[in-house]
Amino acid sequence: MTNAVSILPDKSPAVISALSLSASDLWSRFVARHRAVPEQPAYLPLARTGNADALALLYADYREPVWRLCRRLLLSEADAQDVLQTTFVKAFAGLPGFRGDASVKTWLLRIAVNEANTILRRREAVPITEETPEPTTVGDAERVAVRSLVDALKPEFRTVIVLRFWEELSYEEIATVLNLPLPGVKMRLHRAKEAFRKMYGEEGAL
Amino acid sequence: MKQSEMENILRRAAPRVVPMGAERARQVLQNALATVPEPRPNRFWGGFRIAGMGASVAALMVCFGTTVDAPIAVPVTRAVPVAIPRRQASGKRPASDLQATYPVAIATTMKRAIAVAAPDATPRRIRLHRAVHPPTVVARAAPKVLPDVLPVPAVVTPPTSTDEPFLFVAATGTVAPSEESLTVTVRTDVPASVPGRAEVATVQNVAVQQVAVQQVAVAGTPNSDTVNVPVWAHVAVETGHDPVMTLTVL
Repeated sequence: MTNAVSILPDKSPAVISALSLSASDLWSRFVARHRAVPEQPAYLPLARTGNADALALLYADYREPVWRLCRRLLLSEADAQDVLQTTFVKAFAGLPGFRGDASVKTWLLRIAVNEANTILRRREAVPITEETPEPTTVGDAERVAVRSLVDALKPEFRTVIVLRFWEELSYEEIATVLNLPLPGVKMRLHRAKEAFRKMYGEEGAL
Repeated sequence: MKQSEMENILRRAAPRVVPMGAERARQVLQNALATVPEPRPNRFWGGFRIAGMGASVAALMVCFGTTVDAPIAVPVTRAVPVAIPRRQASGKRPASDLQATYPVAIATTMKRAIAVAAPDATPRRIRLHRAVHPPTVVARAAPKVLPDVLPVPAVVTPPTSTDEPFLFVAATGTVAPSEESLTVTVRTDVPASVPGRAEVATVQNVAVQQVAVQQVAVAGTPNSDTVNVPVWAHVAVETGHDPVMTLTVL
């Protein structure tokens, strides 16, 4: 009787690893490979040419999501406004090179996250102590405490938590925004949640 | 704490963000629009624009770049060195060796008045002018084509090492001694079927002058009916075919 392993060719480890993929992994890979091109706004081709009206429409459509993300990533309103300004300046300049592989919203959020991370890294070096949570967004004590814990996380963890639980982005969108592979997003989110869980437990479940 | 419970806690803690004010939003938009460069033209038409510029340049070169019919020759004052074979009598040397150090001018058609003057000691100045008998003396020569051909740029600037690519063609016209000036027209007459081109660099003004002086000095017969005026033409041949050169003495 022939052994099943013995009939495998020399490259058996690769074959075995390929065969060991689960059906869900294969399906997710298939979906990712054959993912439909996201629907783009009709004015995007005109905006690529630098048309002011089309750019104004683009700004009107995506200003609020970008502003909300900036506001949630950064504690300072002035910083958020700066990031919003820089985001749209870079977006308008880079629109001719925008390939359309991702949605415009995801692309804008990616620019905003990069700009926010730049500010956050700078803040790590020179901490600003005068920043305080905005009082208008505080609902109750638990929310304030949870937000303070999220703000205390590392920037990369806080970013992925904000994108996932506050901005309600999917894993694929987060992967696009953070320029990470999908497993990397899941891993980072898992670690962020673990870090949050640890801090949450240390706080005595608030 | 379960995963779902922790996620719910995080979701509930999402801060509500106050929308940005209209005035501030408008200011951000204006600042962003101020950095946008001018709308770029369509790349499709941009390609045509570049091609159009190239075609314009090519048309200008075609219209003004050629000098085939240029009436004024470009003088090249550099002398053409000549390799004279040893142990050869001067009388047996080819004519090209004798005339090779003359200044070279590139032209296809050249009309130049030639004043043939006697030495100062000679009391009588013999000047030749205008037409002779017969009105057109044609020396049709089918010069031997040398195997080495000259590249196009080197036609204007002949090589200094050797003048092999050039042919020296001699023709003799008859000029009446009473004439004061002589106009020599040298042109190539290459059929259109012959590929390439042949250009003529004439040195006939110097050659005629010297030879004429020699004729006068040697012969010393200004009262004779005619004076033979050798005319030398400096021909560059690139075709590999035999060009037909016509020397016309008017």
